[in-house]
Amino acid sequence: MAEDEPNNGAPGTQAGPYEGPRATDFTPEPDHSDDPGYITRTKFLSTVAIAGGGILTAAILVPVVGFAVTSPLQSEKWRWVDIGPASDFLQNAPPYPNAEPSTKIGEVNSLAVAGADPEADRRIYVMFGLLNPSAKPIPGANESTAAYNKRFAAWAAGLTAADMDLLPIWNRCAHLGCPVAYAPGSQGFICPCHGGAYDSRGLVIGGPPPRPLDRLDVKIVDQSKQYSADQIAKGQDRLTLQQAIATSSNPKVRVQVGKAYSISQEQQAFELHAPGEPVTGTLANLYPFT
Amino acid sequence: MTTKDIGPKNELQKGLDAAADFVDERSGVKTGGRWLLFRNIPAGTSWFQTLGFTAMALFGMQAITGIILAMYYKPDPNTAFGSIAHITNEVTWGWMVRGMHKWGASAMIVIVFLHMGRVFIWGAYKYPRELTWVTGAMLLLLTMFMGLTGYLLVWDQKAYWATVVAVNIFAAAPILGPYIGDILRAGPEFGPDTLSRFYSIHMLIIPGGIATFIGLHLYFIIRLGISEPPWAKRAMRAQKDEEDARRAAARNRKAAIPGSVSFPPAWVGDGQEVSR
Repeated sequence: MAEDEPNNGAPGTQAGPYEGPRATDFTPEPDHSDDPGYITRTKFLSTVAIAGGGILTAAILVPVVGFAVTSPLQSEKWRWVDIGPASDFLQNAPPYPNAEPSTKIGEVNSLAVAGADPEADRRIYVMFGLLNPSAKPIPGANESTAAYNKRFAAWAAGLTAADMDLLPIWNRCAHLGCPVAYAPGSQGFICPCHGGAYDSRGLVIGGPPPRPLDRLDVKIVDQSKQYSADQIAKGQDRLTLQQAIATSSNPKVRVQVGKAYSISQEQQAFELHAPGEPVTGTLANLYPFT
Repeated sequence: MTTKDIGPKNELQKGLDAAADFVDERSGVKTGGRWLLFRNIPAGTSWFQTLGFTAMALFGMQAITGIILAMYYKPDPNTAFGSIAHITNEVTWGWMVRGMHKWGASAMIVIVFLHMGRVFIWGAYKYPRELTWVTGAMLLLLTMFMGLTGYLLVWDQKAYWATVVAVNIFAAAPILGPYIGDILRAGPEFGPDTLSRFYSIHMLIIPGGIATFIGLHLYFIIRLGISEPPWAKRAMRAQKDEEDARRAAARNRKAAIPGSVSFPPAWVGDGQEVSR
């Protein structure tokens, strides 16, 4: 057998016991690569690079996204807007002596005004009409025309300024924001987009709107008198409708509209809501931040 | 016979080949091009599989015509409608480029939906192509949003009120809807900022998003290949084999304990002991 041939323990040969190093003799050096918690140089530098890149990216993105997003979310500023002399809006005011059913009780005016925010060109209808339109007498089934006319005249003669109301109604439909139009024939508002219908006070009488038309705060003031900002804040500059009707020939007596607000079908006031949002009922809870 | 006979004799051809080799050696463009274009496709691939490319070609047309329109369009409430009228009535071929952009937009919506319908009916969204479907769904949303933002730019009554309604639909979403509405219209009311914001979204943000997702969508298609039609013979045979195997397994279970269907017992292989 040659020297370089391995001894495979062939019969008749003696291999002898193995005396070389054995695996069990080694105690392996502790190696950090086995320890998942150990921070190697590579791991450290990767983390620093990712974190540093993240911080730099955020330093760019935060102001940029904030610039695009936060400005539109600021709440709207509002102010009192003068819409004209009271004589323009209080036409055909009570008393109504010798009124016939064809008499216009109050007068409907419509006009465009700049809204609370000068950027926002909001259009409103200013209604001067009955506080309770349903109080108007309707002819009975067997009632003669003469009898009805007599009953109507008696009812109209009893009307005072307290029965009237000056009501600015925003023309933004409460469904999805289309401009509603006043239909004189039906004495109500109709939306051209999806058929929302409202009565003369903006209450829903049909179609998809979830709440009535929004209204604006209104006041009649005599600008020949001076009021401090404190008195204005307390509402001491406001004239009652009776005072305003009595002095409406004075061009210094002006109508002003202010902050817009939403109402429920029961005419209870709420914070201004966007179109599509109900103010009462279960679905009102879907908009907790408005 | 010498080696001079091998290869192109035309000097121009030689030059072009050398230039192509120069670029290919440094960029791998020939390999990449083959990977991109010369793929195996399954039997039964038909004109229906060209709808996706059609949508992409329409996006390309929208991009090119849009870039040209942006040279004449002025995104300001006082000038927007006038500049559209100027493009349509006065600029040479402006009517045509604007028409291509307008009708191309409608065509893109139609083609994208046909493409989606094809993928749905063919069942091509199934494993392993789920992510292709997801990126495609993102492309659908971006395309629809492109339609919304582009519609306002004409700034006529129809565009204005249609967009008011659309944004109010966003704003009527629960909880975060009012914020989305305010961010979209840059405040509580439509105004000059709304128009320039929509213009920016329409021509910068969404095209970038669409290009990104088209890239991902194409990568998935090239990586995974076109799916077979569900009526392909090979696919149907594989399906039949699967079905047969399932039936055989069910038979075995029933044989092990007669009458047991709802609680099949564990069984060993085919139930035959290995012979020694």
